[in-house]
Order: sequence, then C-alpha cells, then structure tokens
Amino acid sequence: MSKRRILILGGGVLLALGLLLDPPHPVNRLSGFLPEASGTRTRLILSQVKHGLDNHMILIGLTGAPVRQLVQASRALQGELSRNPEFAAVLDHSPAPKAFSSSSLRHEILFRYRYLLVHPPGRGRPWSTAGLHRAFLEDLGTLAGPAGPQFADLLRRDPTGAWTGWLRQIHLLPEPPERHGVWFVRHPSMALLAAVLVHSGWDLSHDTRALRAIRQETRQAGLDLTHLRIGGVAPIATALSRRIHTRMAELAITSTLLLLIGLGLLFRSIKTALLLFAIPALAVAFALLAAGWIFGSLNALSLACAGVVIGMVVDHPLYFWTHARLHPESLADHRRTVLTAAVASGVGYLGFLSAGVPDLVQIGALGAIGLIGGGLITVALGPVPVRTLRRDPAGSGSPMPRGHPGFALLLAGLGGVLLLVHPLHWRAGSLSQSGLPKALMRTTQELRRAMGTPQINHYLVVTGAHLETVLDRTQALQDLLEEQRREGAKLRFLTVTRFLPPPSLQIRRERVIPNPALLHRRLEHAIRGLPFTPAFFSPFSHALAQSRKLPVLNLPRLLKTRWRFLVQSELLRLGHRWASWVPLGSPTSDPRLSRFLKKHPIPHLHRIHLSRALSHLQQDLASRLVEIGMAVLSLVVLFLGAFTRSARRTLLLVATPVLGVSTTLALLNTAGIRPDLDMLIGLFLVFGLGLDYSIFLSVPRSPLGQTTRDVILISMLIVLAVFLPLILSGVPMLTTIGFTVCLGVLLDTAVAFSLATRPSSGRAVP
Amino acid sequence: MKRAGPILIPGLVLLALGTARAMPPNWQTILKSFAKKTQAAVAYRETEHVGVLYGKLRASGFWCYQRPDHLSDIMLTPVRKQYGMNRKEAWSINARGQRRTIALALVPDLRMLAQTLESLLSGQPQTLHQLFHVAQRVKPPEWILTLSPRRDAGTRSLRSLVLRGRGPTLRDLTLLYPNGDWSHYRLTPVSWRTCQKEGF
Repeated sequence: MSKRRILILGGGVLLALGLLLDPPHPVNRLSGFLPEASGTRTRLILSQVKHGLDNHMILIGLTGAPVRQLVQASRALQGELSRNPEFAAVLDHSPAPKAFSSSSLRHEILFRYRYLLVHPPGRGRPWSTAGLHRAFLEDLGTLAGPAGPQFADLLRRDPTGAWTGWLRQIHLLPEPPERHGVWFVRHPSMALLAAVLVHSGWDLSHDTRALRAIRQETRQAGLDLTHLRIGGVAPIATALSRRIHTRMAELAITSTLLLLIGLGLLFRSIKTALLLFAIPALAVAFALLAAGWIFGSLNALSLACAGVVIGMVVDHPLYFWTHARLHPESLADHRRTVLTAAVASGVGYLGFLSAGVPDLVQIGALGAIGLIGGGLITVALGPVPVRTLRRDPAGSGSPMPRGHPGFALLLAGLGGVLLLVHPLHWRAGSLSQSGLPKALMRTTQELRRAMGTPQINHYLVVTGAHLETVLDRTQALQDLLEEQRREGAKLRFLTVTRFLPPPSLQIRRERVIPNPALLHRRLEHAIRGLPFTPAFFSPFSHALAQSRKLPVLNLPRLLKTRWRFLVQSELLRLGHRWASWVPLGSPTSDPRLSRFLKKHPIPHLHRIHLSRALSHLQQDLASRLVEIGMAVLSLVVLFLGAFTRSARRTLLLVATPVLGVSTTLALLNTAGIRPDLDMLIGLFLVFGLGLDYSIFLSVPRSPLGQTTRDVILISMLIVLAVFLPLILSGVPMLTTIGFTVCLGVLLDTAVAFSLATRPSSGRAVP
Repeated sequence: MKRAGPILIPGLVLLALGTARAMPPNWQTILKSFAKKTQAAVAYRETEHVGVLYGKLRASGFWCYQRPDHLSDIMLTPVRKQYGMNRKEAWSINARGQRRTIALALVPDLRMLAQTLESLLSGQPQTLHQLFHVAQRVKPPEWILTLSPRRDAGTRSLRSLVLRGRGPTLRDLTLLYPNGDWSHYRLTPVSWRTCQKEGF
C-alpha cells in the first residue's frame, strides 16, 4: 500500500474517531428555514411566526372517561406539566383570579398594581370627592343587591372598581365553559387544557419532548392514549417532520441498496460499487465534522438536504477511476477535471452563505465542504483499480460523435416560448404546508372551537427603538381604540399596556393618588348621606397609600408572574427594536377603523393580516432562493472564468446547467406544476449535475468521448434511481423535488451531449 | 359559589315560586315540574344586615327569568340598578344606563353558577343536590325548604338559604352568611308584564 493511501486511511480512521468522540448535535427545527428578514414588516411577521402565542400553544382534550375522572386527570396533567421545563404555562382554567376574595387576590401582583393599571375615578379630576361619591353610590347598589355581603370584602378594598374594571378590559382570552373548576365541554364530554411551550412549536426537538411528556402524564392519570386529543402547531409540525423524515430514511435505505446491487451488477464487481459509495460517505462524514465544529448544532433537515447534495459527488470517483484505468496517460487531466468540477460546485454552494436563512447557510457550508472534500479525497486516493464498463479499453477511447448544438438551442427556444406563454407564478402553498396531516388539522380546529379560542388573523403592531417608546405608542393606540369602541365600533382587542402601562403613565397615575390625609377628608365628604362608616374603607385607604409607594411595574417583574406568556407573545424583540402586537377581533381593513387611524396617526404603526403576510413571507423566501441561485451562478462563473481565462469556454461550461434549470422550470410550469420552494431545492441539484457533466465533457487533449459518455449516463441512472422513488413518496414536498431532479437530470444530460465538442488541442478546462 | 349570590337567589326563589303552588311531596319532583315554566317574575323587598355598615340596608325591585338562561335582578331602591346573566356573561346597568359586562370565563365561579342555574331551571335537581343539602319541613299549610351548601361544592361564603311559604305562595327568603351577615326578602308574585315594563 502506498504512503498516500496509508495517510488517507489514517485520515479516514481519525475522521471516524472524531465523529465518534464529538458527534454533531442534530436539532430538529423548521424555524431555522425562516429568513432573517431585512424589512421591518417581514421581521415582524417572522417574530410572530417564531414567538407568537399561537405557535407556542398546544391544545389538549381528554375524553373517554367519566366526568370526575376526566376532571381529576386534567388537574393532574396541569400539575405535572407545569413542573416540566418545556412548558411556560399549562392552563386548565381561566388565568384570571378565581374569585374576588382576599385569599385569592393576596398573591396577585396585578391586584396590588390595580391603581396604576387603570385610569383613576373622577372625570377630569382624578380622585375627586364627587368621583368617589359616584363610585360609592354604585357600591351601595351592589351591597343592596342579593349578594351584597359577599361583595363587601372586595368593595372595602376596591370601592372604585379598579380591579373589576381591569378584568373587564381583558378581551380575546379563551372562554371555554368550566366544570368542577376545569375547562370542560359536554358534547363530546371532554376536559380541555392549553399548554404554552417555552420554545416555538417549530422547534421540533422540544416539541417531541413536550408531546412525550403529555402522553406520559395522560397515561399516568389512568387515561387511554386513544382518548387523548392534541392540537396546535407543535403536533402538526412534528407529525409533518416525522412523516418526511421517515419517508426520506426509507427512500435513502432502499435507494442505497438498489444502487449497490445495480452498480455491482453493472460493473460485475461489488468492490467497485462499495468503493464508489465510500467517497460520498467519507465526504459526508468530513462535512459533518467540519460543519459541526463551525455551527455547534446542525439542523436535521439541513443535514438531510446536504446529504443528498454531497451524495451527488459519486460521479467524481466514477469519472476519475474509470478514466484513470482506461487512459492512465492523461491522469493529470482527469485529476484536474475532477477537482474543477468539485471546486466549481463547492464554490457555488458558498452562495448559500449569503442566504440570511440560518439553516440554509448550514446547507451551503455542508455542501461546499462535502463537495470539495469529496473531490480532494477522490484525487488524493489516486487511481483505484475498479472495473470498467467496457472490456476493450481501446474501444472506449473512441471519440464521441460531435454533439448537435442545435438541440440545445431548440430546448432554449422552447423554454423561452413556454415561459412567455405561461409566465411563472409563485405557488403560495409550499414547504410548510405540503402534506400537512389532515386528521391533526381537524383535531386542532375542533379543540380550538371547543376552547373558544379565536383565530386571530388581524394585528396592529407598533414598533420602536426603546421599550418605553413602544409602550407609549401602544397606550396611545389603546386609547384610540377605546374611543372607537365608546363610539359604537364592535372592537375586540388586547394590548400589552393593559398589563404593563408605560412607566410615565404609571408615574402620572401614582402622583395623582391623594395623600392619606387628603384622601381621608375626601372620603368623609364622599360618604355623606350614605350608610358607610369611614372604617368601611380603611383597606381601600391602605391600598392607595401602598400604591403611592410602589415601584413602577416593569417588564422583568411582570415576566415573573403567570401573565408572562401573554406579555411575551405581545411584546417581542426585533434585534435592537421592540414590537408590540395588538391582536384584533375584527379586520384591520375595517373602513371605519382605517379612517380613524388615518385621522390619528401613530408613528411606526403596521397593520398585519397574518395569513396574507405569511404568503408574502413564502414569496420572500422564494425570492431569497432566487437570489441565492444568482449568487451561486456568479460564483461559478467567476471561478470558471478565472480558471479557463476564456469567456467563451466559461459560457459553454455554464450553458448546460443554466439551460437544464431553465428548461426544467419552463416544462414543469407549463405542465401546471407551479414553482415553489420545493422545486427550487430540486433545481439547485439540477444545476450542480449539469455543471459536472459539462466539465467532464470539456476535457481536452485525449479522445475520451465514449468513456465520459458512459460515466455521465451511469451518473444519470444513479440520480434517477435515487430520485424516482421520491415521486412515489406520497409527501408532496418530496414528490416535487423528485420530479424536478428527474426531469432536470435528463435535460442536463441531453444538453451536455448536444453541446459536447470534438476534442481539441490546447488548454481548455482547466 | 362565592359570586353566586346575585343570580342564585332569584333563580332559587323563582324555582320555589314555581313549586310552591302545587307543593308536591318531593322537592325533586317540584324542580322537574318547574322546568315547564318559560318565564317568571317576582317583586321583592329586602332588608340586609352587613356588619361593617352602620344600620340596615333596604332595597326593592323585581327578579325576572326567561328560559333558557336569561336572569335579571331589577333593583329600584336604594339605587336604580340592574344585574343580569346568561351563559356567556354577567352584566350590570347603572342608573345612568352605563352597562358593564364581564365574561363569565373571567369569573369561573359565576360560570359554574350559570351552568348550575341552567340545569336547575331546566329541571335537573341532581345538580342542586350536588351543591346543597336540601331539608324540607312541611306543616300544612306552611312549608320550609332549607338549602345548606355542601363543603365540596366550595360554598363557604353562604351558610344557608331558607325558603318559607304558605300554601301555594312563597312568602319570604333568608340568606345567612358565615360572618353573621344576613339578607331577608319578602316576595310577591307579579305578572310578567312588570318585568317587560322595567326593560327586561
């Protein structure tokens, strides 16, 4: 064994050891494929997708047992899951205080802050004697009512109704019916819970742990899992991901076995087949180790995509070893060709680094490292005595007939005409929606209906550089919306300033609270003619005196309370900026509201229709992928231009992949398969393959035509064998990718052959 | 049940009014017979003792019920005020016509009560039985029903509720609270039109 091979073998062993000792940490998340947006609007939508309450909520329904058992199970589940670090909160009943009694309100921080949360009583003159008198008169009505004695305790501590007033202002909270203190619907008999995840529902690793905990606790509570209903983004995303991963794993195993058998039979040598597979396997391992070291943790889906990309390097050893065996005299040329193809594709994948989408960057890095690494390993190993397809090496060296460039031109023309007749239209439904599990979607809708959780689609969003600014603007918006409601508009909204008024407003409210002596005088005047003694209001006086000393309620303090998940979902960080989301129970396009907001402009106010915005977001991601495509093309052209130092040659080399991609796109579009994210992923593979074929066929000097042709045909067969099963996978995303790659590789091959020229003397590529 | 009072009492009274006319021996049968009524109205005069107030509070008004779930207390004195409740929300309307509504979801006790009353007034005595121990004393022509909250029903804020009647008429109602406060109501059946006139 030569020294070089010993070195490579040693390197391989070290690589394996490295992977064993420090394996990359795969995480499963879909949110990593969301772009890091440039515009405020897109960033807002992304922040809602990643951090919005809807994406953190798992809805749970327990059925199939007597009411009492369901209630007990619901309580047990709530207790156990609340202690689980995956959950920020688990609710089995309304988060509002259960009663107005002293005991239940003692620990309620917002009750302590009630006089800083709402406007003080008294029109224009806060805490005036007249205002207090009016409030006490109302209290008299309450006390004289049939439950007067029961309300007496609350009225003594809050006679101006600040707390009940605040509670009335909380709209859009779930309002399911309750039974025995837990959310419960009768038809079908079902206990309901809402679990709020710490991480977004798109972070599948966390979802899996959370869902496992829910199932485990349900079993512990003595319920059969068949009676457990789970809905929300997390179970849907998990099911979708599991389905894709399962199908991909099945297909990967099947394709690998089929290919090994096919190649073994084709070459009549299992050793050759295994050697051919060793290169992509080593390249994947190398890329894993390097990217794992760079990124720390790798997205499982990025790994899968990169694995497919790197798998395509199988044509490099196929080309190199076949040619080295049949034409050892041109070994240097073969080496250069393989390196050129590997580096050109690798450099192209560097274009992904500009993606601004974290996990697409991972694909780019993995692809670049794997492709270049694969090429280097192939070349470093040197000629390996593999079997060749042709027994007669002399025959294989016969020059390939000159191609017919007219065919490529015809394809280009056809593609152009088709694109003119059927212009490209972006398809909104794509990656995230492909193959969504329908049963889970139905369950989610049913649970949502049962919970009475409104599907919020309209938001008003206020942004700003500082939290205080955003709170000030949100308060202004809240005041405007309240004014609208007073004027009769049927508005339902929930602002974060209900929980966290701007500090300046809290201070203003604090300052107008009369001092104890003044309050005492006003109270004495206010109760004249009413059957109250001053002692009746001593808890109220005490509470007001305390309110004057309270530190301003701030975000960190509020985030320690049970209201934190509501606050967190409405008040989001956007890098160095803040955004306050105001969910609306009515359309933002309501003309009356529009006119009103136009008349009273609030700076940095955005109106967002979420489902429409998400569609735009997908388009944004698509245009991002198109930009990546252009970056890839530019890098490849630059690299080839620098290497060939010939514009004509460079143009010829990139003509095959560009024509392959554009014609595939035109044909699929004409056939009614609209371009979407899935198709774009497939087109990147088509581009890489076209580039390889184009470079293989441009080797100068020796007449290698038939051998190269064989290599390309085998490579094409390998691609078809891998991607044809995807078409039958039943997962729309995989079907589209499979269809795109299969059609693309056929067109790549046809275009490459038609553009192939007779070998010429002189330096071409490289 | 702590917030149950405003609506529970009119509900039970109307229930008793419906039952008192016939006075069948079993109170459960009474409730079932009441379920046939679609609407009911009664005038009240209340005397209330609240320890922390000086003197006694006096009030008057009407209680009105319309199936399936609309229940109102129309108070005329000492201030004009109206309380109401249905399955989803409870509300009050003050003398100036200002309406304040609160979702029952925010006051789960009230929601539980709404469900209870709904089942009561639609003739499901087992729900009442889950919440109260019911004692019935009949000394013709007078009768007394005493409802004591069960501990597990979370009704610590009410000690007992006593309904007294004579023949087919419910005469009065007394609520006793654990802290010694009490409310006493003298009741008179009125026509449904009275409720309509008062804007029910």
